[in-house]
Amino acid sequence: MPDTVTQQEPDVRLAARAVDLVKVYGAGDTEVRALDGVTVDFPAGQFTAVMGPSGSGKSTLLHCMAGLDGVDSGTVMVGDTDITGLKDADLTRLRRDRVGFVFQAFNLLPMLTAAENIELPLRLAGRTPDRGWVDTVIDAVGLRSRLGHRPAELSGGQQQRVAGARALAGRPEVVFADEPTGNLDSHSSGELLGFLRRSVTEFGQTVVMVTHDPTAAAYADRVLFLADGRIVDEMAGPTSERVLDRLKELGG
Amino acid sequence: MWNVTLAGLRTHLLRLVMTGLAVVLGVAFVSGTLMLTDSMRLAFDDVVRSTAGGLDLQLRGTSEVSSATTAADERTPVTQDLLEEVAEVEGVRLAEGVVQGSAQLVGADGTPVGGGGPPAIGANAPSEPGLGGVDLQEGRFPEREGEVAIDLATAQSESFALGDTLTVVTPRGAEQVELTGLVRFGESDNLAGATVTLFEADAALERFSPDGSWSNAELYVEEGADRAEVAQAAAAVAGEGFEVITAEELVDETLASIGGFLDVFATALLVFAGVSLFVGAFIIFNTFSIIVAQRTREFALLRALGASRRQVLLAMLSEAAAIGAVASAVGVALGVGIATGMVALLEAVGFALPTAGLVLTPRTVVLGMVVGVVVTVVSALLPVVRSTRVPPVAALQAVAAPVTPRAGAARYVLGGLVTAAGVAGLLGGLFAGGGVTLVGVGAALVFLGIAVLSPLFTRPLVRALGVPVATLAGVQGDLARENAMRNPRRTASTAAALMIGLGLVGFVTIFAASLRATVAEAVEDLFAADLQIRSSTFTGLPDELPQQVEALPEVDLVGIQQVTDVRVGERTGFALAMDPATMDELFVLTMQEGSTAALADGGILMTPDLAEAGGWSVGDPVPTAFGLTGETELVLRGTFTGAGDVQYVLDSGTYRDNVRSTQVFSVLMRLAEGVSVEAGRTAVEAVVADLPSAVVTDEEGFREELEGTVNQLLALVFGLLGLSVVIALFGIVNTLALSVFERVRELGLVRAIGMTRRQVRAMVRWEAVLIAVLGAVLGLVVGVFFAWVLALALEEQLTAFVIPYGQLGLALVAAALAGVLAGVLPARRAAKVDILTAITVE
Ligand SMILES: Nc1ncnc2c1ncn2[C@@H]1O[C@H](COP(=O)(O)OP(=O)(O)O)[C@@H](O)[C@H]1O
Ligand SMILES: [Mg+2]
Repeated sequence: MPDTVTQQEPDVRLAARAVDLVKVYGAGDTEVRALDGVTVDFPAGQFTAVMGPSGSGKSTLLHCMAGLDGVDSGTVMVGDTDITGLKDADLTRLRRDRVGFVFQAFNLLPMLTAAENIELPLRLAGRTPDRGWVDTVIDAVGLRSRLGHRPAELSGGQQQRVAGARALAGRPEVVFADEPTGNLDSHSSGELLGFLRRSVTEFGQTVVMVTHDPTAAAYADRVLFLADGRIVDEMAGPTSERVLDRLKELGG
Repeated sequence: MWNVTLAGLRTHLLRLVMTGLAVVLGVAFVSGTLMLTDSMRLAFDDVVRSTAGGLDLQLRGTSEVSSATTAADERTPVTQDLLEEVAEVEGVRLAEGVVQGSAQLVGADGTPVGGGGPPAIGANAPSEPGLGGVDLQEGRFPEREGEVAIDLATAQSESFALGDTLTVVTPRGAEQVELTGLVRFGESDNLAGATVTLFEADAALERFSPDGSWSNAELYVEEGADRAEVAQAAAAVAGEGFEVITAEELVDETLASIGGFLDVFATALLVFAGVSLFVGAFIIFNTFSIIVAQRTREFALLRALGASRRQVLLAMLSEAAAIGAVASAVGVALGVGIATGMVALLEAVGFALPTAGLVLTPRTVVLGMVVGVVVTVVSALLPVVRSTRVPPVAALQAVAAPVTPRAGAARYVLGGLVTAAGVAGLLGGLFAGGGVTLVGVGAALVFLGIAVLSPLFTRPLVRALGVPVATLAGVQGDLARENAMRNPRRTASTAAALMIGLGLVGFVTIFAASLRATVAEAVEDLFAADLQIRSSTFTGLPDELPQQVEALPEVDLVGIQQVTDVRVGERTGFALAMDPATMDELFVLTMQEGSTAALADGGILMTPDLAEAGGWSVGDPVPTAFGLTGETELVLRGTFTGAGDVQYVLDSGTYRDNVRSTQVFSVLMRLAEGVSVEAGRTAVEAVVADLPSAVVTDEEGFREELEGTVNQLLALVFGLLGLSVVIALFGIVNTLALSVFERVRELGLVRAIGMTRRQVRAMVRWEAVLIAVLGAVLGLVVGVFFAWVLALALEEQLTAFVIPYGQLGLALVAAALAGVLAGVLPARRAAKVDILTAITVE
């Protein structure tokens, strides 16, 4: 499906955007510039993969974009909102209502069923779930028969798909996923990635996914390459071979 | 990672403090009680030694019945003639007559000095300073009618100064006297809290002994004379019906009677201290269970590195012992505060106690330490043994998830057996004469058994209780409910600690309500008079008061009640004497058998259980002993119920024949035709206007007064149970703090997906509320059961069984609010969880 790349047009709506983002950890000798002037647009309705060596700042970028972490300078926009100046309560509301997140592991509350986990952010917001939409998501993720199960009764792949469904249940402006397939076998990975792809293609969602896996990156519309806290390259319409080649060039 | 370590350390510290706190408070209660009673014992000891110890010998009439309920023993008085004869006995330097009675001082505010607490003693001043341990501190002893000396402590607390005119009420009525002297008793400023008013000898006799005889006589022997010989000679002169005892014997006898009271007092307090420790044991058990679960990896690692089970066991037991020791030491220190607090609490509910500073004996320290360490180690034993069962391979497992063992059949069986044993103990103690100890053990076992069983019904109960919470609090409430249900054992044992406190609160609440209803019923039947005069200070009313009110045109009929101690069969008890003629008009006993009619001619009435215990039927002779006159035979004329604590009823004539005291306990009045209660009351109150301790009540007032006594006791018990409830609340704080630590990742996750801090706090608080309410519900159910069983056992005395749903509901609401309070700290911690740290923890 890489041929469905949406060409970036000047008037395309942006789901999120970072401008000159700087994030520094520590000070003095131990100072680490996790993000060192990152400027990037995430157009709505696009699936972006973020790649780069370990420690290059991928997670940090996602955390900053999703309002999980503050930045030292620069601007983060989610939709039309500049979130860099927001207070904790506003950031929480932003994460709840306008952003979805899928972590590498431990995404679900163990005492809630799959269905309850999926609807948790909506319930936290006091929103009535849009039944039609939630059903669509659940069907897309192929979990209808597992809705009453608790995480302990689900496989790793199923758990990640529940997390994916939860991220989408509130129709967020953008979904961030940090190595969501990192702990999965290739079959389970395929199912999750297929779901993320469909959510973009069929439902017009926006997904930003960090991954190490070129095969996973090939599901995206474009790939950003990060190194030492900077975006060093960008590839539209990736295939796993091209991504692998590029990684070799960069890593070498 | 450093953040996590720090958080771990902080949690560790909190955990230690919280675990320790349960022990600290329990031990503080125990050592505080010991300190308090030791101090009281010492205070009494000082006073008794300096007064009774101040004389050489005492001459007194023998007494057949030693007083259990009324103020003083009934004895044959020592006449002036006898006193003079004994004074002539070889070796007697001085024979000093002593007369005592009640003399109530009136404070500047018009209320009786000392309230209804310690006795107000009136006596004759010694003929020389120092006799009987009475020393002159300031001024002089009274030399004539109208002068008094009082104890220094009372003068100080009431700001009386020499030369002041005081009001004092004696059996002769109220009068104005001049304060001429202040006295001390050996080292003490007062006589164990009592107020003492000393009169000139003739003035004292006139007030306290109208026939001019002395209560007893102090004998002082000449230098070099042999006390025993003098005692023998004096006894020979006095003859039959008198005895001469040494100062040492008098000291021992007095201390023994005070000691008996102090023992009862100490035991009662220690029972409550024991309840606190019992609750504390649950907290310790619970905390150690959680700690062991959270440290599974650590134990596995130790085992993998070659530590034996024994070593792990010893290491954990030492940890428990160390916590116990430190906490006990703090507890003993805190006991000083508790003792001070208890004095204040007792004072607040009207029991002022004499103390000469707090005494910390080595026994208190040792006992406090031993109790604290033993309770800690024993409570920790089960979880510690569990820690040794961790297999070494557990170290290799990626996540040491706290295991939640399924409740098995073993738990049903064990819990069922313990509960059954507890119920058996209760029933055996209450119905088969097994006694209070068996009842206590049974109650403790019931609590323990229910605690063992409670994980089995925690889920359904919390699910049900959570319905309103989820409706009220939305998703936070829902999550709180899920969290409370996820580890039923932990939730249950945390709640069990509160169950004990609330079980007892529920029990005494129901018992008190039933008692109040019983009193109300009894008063309605019993109190046929329009008005009653009683003394608020238990010191009796002036002798001529009945005649004074009888003379009022508003009053139609007057009956007096007098009280004395009697020994009936083997049992010493409290007898009320009345004139049968007025009894049926003013004070109507509910007769079960027989009637009051035949009482006059040497009859006695008693409660049915006493008659049954003695094996007497109506018409049988009943051996009855009076202090003064010794054994005689009365005839059982009937049995009655519903007269409160009255055990025996006598005819006034029998009373006069056998009792020397003329003190009136209460005066009952029927008003003349057409006189309203208000008009009657106004007239009667005018008569007693100068008697501050005389209280005029009608039926309603009488009932309210009795109910007030029940409420006072209830307040005292609530105060004493308060500590165990507080300990249980610390248990909730502790469990939740540990759970929050355990759930850091989850908390990070929910924050990441949009839970606000406020919602996180609410979630934890609601969990605390659910645990508290669970404990309260379990406790109240047990409390209702206890009260019901006791009501069955006391069917005769407790004629009403009332479950005060409103008050129990209030207790439930209070428990829920306390849960909110207990949740505050853990909730704050949970809300502070750093999202990134939490979700990036590997
Ligand atoms: N909380 C932190 N404290 C200090 N340094 C951090 C922290 N989080 C990330 N870093 C550092 O910032 C850099 C980028 O980290 P990260 O965004 O996690 O990289 P990636 O996800 O690409 O592997 C790394 O050098 C990492 O060590
Ligand atoms: Mg990363």
